[in-house]
Amino acid sequence: MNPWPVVIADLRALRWVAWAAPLLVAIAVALGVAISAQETALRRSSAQAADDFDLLIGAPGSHTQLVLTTVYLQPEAIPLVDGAILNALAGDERVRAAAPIAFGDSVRGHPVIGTTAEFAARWGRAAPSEGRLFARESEAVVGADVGLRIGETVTPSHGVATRRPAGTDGEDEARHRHEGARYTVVGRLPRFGTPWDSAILVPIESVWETHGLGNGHATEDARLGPPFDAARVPGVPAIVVKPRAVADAYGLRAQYRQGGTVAFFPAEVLVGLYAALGDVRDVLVVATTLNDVLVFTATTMLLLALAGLRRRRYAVLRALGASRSYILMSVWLGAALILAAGCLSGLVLGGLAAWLVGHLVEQRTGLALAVGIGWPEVLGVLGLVLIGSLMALLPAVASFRTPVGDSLR
Amino acid sequence: MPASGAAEPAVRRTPLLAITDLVVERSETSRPSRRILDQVSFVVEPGAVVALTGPSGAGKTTLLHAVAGLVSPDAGTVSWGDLDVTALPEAGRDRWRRDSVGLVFQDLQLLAELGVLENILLPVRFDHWRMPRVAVERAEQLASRVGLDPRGPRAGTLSRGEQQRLAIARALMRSPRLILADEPTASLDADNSARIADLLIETTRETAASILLVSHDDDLLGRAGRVHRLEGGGMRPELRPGLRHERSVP
Repeated sequence: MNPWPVVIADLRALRWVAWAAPLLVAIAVALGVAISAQETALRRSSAQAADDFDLLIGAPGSHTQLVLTTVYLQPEAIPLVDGAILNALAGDERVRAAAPIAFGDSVRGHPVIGTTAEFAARWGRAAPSEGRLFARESEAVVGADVGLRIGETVTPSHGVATRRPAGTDGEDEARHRHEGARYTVVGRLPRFGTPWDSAILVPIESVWETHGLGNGHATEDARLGPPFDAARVPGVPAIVVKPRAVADAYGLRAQYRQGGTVAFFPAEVLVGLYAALGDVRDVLVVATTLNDVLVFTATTMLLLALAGLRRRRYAVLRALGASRSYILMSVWLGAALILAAGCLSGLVLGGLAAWLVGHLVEQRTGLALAVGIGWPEVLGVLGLVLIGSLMALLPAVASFRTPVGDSLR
Repeated sequence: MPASGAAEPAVRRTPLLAITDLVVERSETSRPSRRILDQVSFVVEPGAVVALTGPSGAGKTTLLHAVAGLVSPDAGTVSWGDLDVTALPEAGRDRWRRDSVGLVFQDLQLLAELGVLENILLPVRFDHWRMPRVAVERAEQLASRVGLDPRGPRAGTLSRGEQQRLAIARALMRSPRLILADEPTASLDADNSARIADLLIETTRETAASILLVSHDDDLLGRAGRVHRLEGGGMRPELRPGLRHERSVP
């Protein structure tokens, strides 16, 4: 038997409803797919962004704010931690490396971050994709997304960075410019897929100098980077520590949790954020599931009503010699096609929506979300296709059971 | 058919259709059951054209449906040669109808969304996934025979007369040995009505089929070999001169 001609005739008879019904299902399914894909990508990308921030030490305050400011470069004024800790860490056998991080200035909307060349190269994990790392106070290395050319010289402005199109100056930047301070771009870092791709990295000494705090060393011409002079080193917003071993990491965390500092693993904060995110996700999943159920039920009811309206057509087919199973197959295929087309379109639509939202998130935060449709989304949609196929049996069975004689009357 | 739609020999055996003491009652909610057909008996000889007429509500369409096995009678039998159609299970009646009966409905019941060829081929789709080439050729011949372009547009865009001819072509697709036609010339003008009558009778004569038709069309009734009047659920014989397929009578 070949039910396709009847299926095609039925779908053609639906006219715009044959498009509208799958579209409704697609939108309902897309919501669930987009939320799932987006949440997965957000977890993965935010965790990757914190990869090189093993242990953070800062002044007492919100851990979450310190992570947001340090790892995700969300501008916010945070209290400073005593710079002398840098020296203590430099002499600590449990520490492989430690780097100060200082914020506060910007160039053309890009935040200027003061740190060490070692951390700029992510503890040696990354080499500049172009040029070299900074070696003098007047040099800068830029993130992959910063629109400055190698050799270009810029003047930083004091204040919180607000992102603008590359190469444009804001009025507030012009008013708060640090006259006399200049950076020449000497290198460009590879893309990390984090907000740091939009940052301009300069020696921590130059940030201190720009703000009249000295250079943290005993002499003016000292080599960049640690060790710093304990008597001269100013305070810093945060210190990133790379411990030698896991046990060392826990020991350092315990030690710097007291004495006027806080120490924690960014992963701890992320786990807390994911828990909150998970709760929100659970609510959204329940809402989208209810949404799916409602749309599936409404579509099935519509198809059931249509099967009722078409019972004379199916009775005529029976009269022409079609078996009950032929009618069952035709009605089921038509209904299942509508629901399956909606589900599969929803998968594509959901993927597009998640990609679009990921793009917007990246534009606003610099955090590149690796949004993709994974097996969880595909299996979820295949499950919906299966449910849709089962629901499509309702109109099919209703048509199957209708007595031919009554329907022809 | 001959599901393949292969050409039939010019002369073949068509069984006798015998309706014996047929009773059909209809029960409706909150009403006592009503007898639609009351012990109706008649025969359609092989190759004969037998017409049924009578007032509206007399049970003519119900009788056609009972003969086609679409309505289960409360008593009596419909036999096709040695085969007791009324005793067949539903699937058996489906098969019998598919293999032996061609139906033309009063309201045609074409699939308006399909083209001419797909409508004619529809009965073959019931038991073939891939359409045999010979079936397509037969459908094209039938379309031409009834004056339609096989590649013609969707049935819903055809005129009433064209749709009527298309419905007849669909009924003939499987070379049925019994044609059941319900008001095949209803709502047609005189010219179209005569054309449909010619088409129906001539094409079935060519395939040696028997015809049982319901009509109020005097021209069509005049061409039937025998006309029965159905009234009050019972049969009133009414002999009229008309056609008889002498060639196909065994």
